[in-house]
Amino acid sequence: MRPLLRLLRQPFHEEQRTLKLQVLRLGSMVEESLCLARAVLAGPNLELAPQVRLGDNRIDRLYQELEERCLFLLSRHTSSQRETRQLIVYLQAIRDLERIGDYCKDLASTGERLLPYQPLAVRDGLLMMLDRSRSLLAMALEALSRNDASAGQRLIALDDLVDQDYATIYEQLTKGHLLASMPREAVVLTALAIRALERLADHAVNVSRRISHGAVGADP
Amino acid sequence: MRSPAELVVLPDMVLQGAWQMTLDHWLLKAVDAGTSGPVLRFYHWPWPCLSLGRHQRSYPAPWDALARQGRLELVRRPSGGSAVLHGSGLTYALVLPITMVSGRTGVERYRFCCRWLQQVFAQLGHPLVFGQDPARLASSHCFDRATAADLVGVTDGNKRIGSAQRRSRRALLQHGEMALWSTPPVLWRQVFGPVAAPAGLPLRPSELPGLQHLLRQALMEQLGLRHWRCWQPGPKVWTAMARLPMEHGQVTAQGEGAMAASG
Repeated sequence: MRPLLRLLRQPFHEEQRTLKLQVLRLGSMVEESLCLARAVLAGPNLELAPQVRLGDNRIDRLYQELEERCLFLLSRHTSSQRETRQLIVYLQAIRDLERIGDYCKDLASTGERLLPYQPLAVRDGLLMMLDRSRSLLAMALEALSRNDASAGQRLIALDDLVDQDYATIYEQLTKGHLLASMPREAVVLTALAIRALERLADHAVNVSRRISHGAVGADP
Repeated sequence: MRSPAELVVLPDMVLQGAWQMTLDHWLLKAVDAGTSGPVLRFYHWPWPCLSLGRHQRSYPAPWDALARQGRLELVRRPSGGSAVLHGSGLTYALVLPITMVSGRTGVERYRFCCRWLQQVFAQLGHPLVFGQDPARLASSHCFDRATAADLVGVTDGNKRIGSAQRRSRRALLQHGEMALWSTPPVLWRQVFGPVAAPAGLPLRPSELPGLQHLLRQALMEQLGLRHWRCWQPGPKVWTAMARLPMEHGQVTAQGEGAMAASG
């Protein structure tokens, strides 16, 4: 239990700093997963989807570790209200990040099954939606890193664009000439992919929304 | 330094504005340090982005409010000039070792760095010439005038491509925005007030996919390069970029003179 003992001796803000770095590490693992999922959806690549699945196992392990650490720190009763609030922000953020990781895995698997239907008729729109979601995630992580409590409102508005993408692609899949020309399985899989992206972007927005004004080290 | 034999081409990336600018700034440093040959990249924006020139120290207060509301992302360019609203066009960044650029004055360097663009658009049936307007101080946005750094349509006089440069000791970065589609008029009015938005280039949709290819070929021909290679930053490079300090200018109240040489 040597690491735990060392943890006990650390001053609280030092522990929080270490925890924050670990949360951001989880974030960058999730970002990488999303980049790989993009490559699977973008074109014929058979090797990347298994990488996303392996990466997701690592994400899950780190998530469990971080959850344990947050709970341990919360249970010590030595923290102030602000510090407790910050710990809860991290607890919620890692939950959202873990969910985003799961959606990346789903996207990669969907992308794998879409391979026979590539290039998709809605490929450009789908990739733009993914890039927007990825940019939202990057901005949310940056806000978390800077404790920028004002980012939430901004990201909610930018998320509207992802919702618009969802509506546009859904419309394309269900109406118009695509309905006749696209194989039914490709339509279903694409619908699953845009659903995953829409949910993923919402979780990214959640990460930024929970950054609290009163949190430790928050921007004034 | 020996003259580089190939053009480094980055894939078309959609990144949030802050990262696009960081990437261009990093590329300028890399070419300046001699670790990279000449670089060309085209990119898109995930949402409307308003980029401020490197020296644009004052700008209208509502822009901050629009950014806070998430209507647009406000970023600062590593290059000079005045504000550009991106999102409905194609943006390019060209970074050249200074030894490859001919021209002693700023105007001459712009002429050199825009020749490939002129050539391609002339081929496509849209000849472009340099603007005649003087570069005014404290001009709020880029597309309200066409200076010697900008390309306007020969037939209609509409500004089509706005460019801005930044020179370091051994390298030159040229940024440019090609207006391809019309900007959402509501957002344009919110940002720049009741002035007309620039009209998009009248390109047929079938011409668009080949446009980047044509532009790359024309640039390679102009620079005398025979090969190009695709390069994408790896995780280590992204980390290095994140640590790169951006030279953010101090933002002051509207009214102080903003240096706008181009844009």
